[in-house]
Amino acid sequence: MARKNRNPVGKNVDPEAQKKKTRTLTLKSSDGQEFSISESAAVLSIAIENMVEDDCAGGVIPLPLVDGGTLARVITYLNKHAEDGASDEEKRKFDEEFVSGMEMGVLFDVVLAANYLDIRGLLREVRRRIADRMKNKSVEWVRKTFHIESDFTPEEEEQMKKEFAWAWEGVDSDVDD
Amino acid sequence: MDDELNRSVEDVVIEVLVHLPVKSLMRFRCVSKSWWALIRSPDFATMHHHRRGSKEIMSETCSLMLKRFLVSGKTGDDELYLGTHALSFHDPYSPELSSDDDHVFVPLGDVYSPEFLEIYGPCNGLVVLVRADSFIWCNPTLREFKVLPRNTIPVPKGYVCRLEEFGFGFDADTNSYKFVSIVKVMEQPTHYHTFSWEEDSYVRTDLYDSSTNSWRIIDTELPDFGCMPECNLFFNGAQHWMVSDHHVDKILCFDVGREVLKWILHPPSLCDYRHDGKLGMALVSLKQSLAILRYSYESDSEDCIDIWLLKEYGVSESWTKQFVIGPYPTGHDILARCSWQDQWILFESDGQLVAYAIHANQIKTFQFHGHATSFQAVIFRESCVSLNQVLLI
Repeated sequence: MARKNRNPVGKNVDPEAQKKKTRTLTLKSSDGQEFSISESAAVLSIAIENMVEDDCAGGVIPLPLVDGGTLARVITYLNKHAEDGASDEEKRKFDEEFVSGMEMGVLFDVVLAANYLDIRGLLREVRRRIADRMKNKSVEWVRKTFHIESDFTPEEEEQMKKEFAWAWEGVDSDVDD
Repeated sequence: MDDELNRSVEDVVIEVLVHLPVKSLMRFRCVSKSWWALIRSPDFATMHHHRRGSKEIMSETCSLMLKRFLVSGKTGDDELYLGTHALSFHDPYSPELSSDDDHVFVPLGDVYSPEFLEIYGPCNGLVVLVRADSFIWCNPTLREFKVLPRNTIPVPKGYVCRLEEFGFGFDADTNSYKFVSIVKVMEQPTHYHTFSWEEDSYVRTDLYDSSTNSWRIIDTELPDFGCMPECNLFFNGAQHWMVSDHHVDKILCFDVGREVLKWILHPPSLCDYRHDGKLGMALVSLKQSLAILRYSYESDSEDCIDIWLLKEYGVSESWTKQFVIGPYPTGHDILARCSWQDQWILFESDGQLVAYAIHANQIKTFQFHGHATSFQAVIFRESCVSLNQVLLI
């Protein structure tokens, strides 16, 4: 990820940026857990940045669509990406490790949170990861993972399978990795 | 709140699906009726085709369609090989092509005189195979083929049509694909005579529109021009051909939306060299500009490849000689329209597929062989547009 650090270190220290680093915000999850985070890390989320700018934040920012476990993960991500002096390479490695251990359900919670909070980098990373894990999976695996019930008749399904039989070649076995 | 969450889930599912390869999508259409409807919707197909992905995703979704001739092991005759190969960019300094074993042969059935088969496109990941006067529209990713209805626009008695140029493109305003064929209408030759341009000959521009499923004549006036083989490109909503009008090379363009023909003149410095040895030219799209490549096909020598970019589209004065690459060994034939990620240009050199780097003095050789000058290729991004859905015939 060749993104430029948003806050380059060393040159012309912006007093506003300094203030953001020391100011902390409190984020409150859907299940009532509260988390402290520096403003500079929190505003990597465009949605939070907007709330802070509109000054509707007050003391505590409620995030009713994100549960505590997911919010904790998102905050770990934001802290790393707001860290002074973390190189692009370091962040890339962090991203890789950050998502590699997550199960599909967790990844989906995180991608939903990233979408809701408008954290572009995280959204891109997790979306790519989900697509990577999904691409060789069977239809049944997808239904199970996304809690979708089939509304096709077996005959309809068979017909569709016949139409693009090559798309069923080289499908992984249904074991989650 | 639930509504907001549902919408958000839906958005994220679409975002994820857009980043899947077509093969996965065709399988996942079976997941549910809503996924089926989403994946087959034209808006989704457009989003999917134009998505900006990471390198990893790009590498899975770019393919090369390659045509070449080889001597068949069985019959000893020349045999047509036409297939698609996945391109990979895991290492940008060394692109890879999937081997012969993975490739998909295009089922052409009984191809009579296959040497006349030409590949046109791509446009939105689709190509057209032209053989004599039949046009086979093809989505190589979905392995779909559709023969377009025959052009039955009549010619005066005693006259015949000869196809000179062909091209196709997508008109976003009418959401239709348009196929344009420029024909010369000339008197039927008598025995021992070939076609020749006479006073009463004329050029006609015919267009097939996928939304009306019919051929019609476009009102244009074109002089008797000469074609340059394989010098065509769909770019910026228009089909481009390199042609020669009374010994002056120019680019003829057909704006697919407005259905008008226009000319773009060549850079003056390009014309200076015209009669200077065996020079070949090609049209490619490079750095979001229309580009002309000039190369030498004199054998056993070394020469540079010159590249001009049209900085401002449609303005002939804006041609700029941007790159001079090489010198590379000559005796090669460019595979028109084939530039990769603005980094590589594909050539055939002595019956082998090679890529030359634009920014560095680098050659990449691929293990694809065939008869010299029998190669033709296009690079396309995969598309989930089903021809059966576009063309209700």
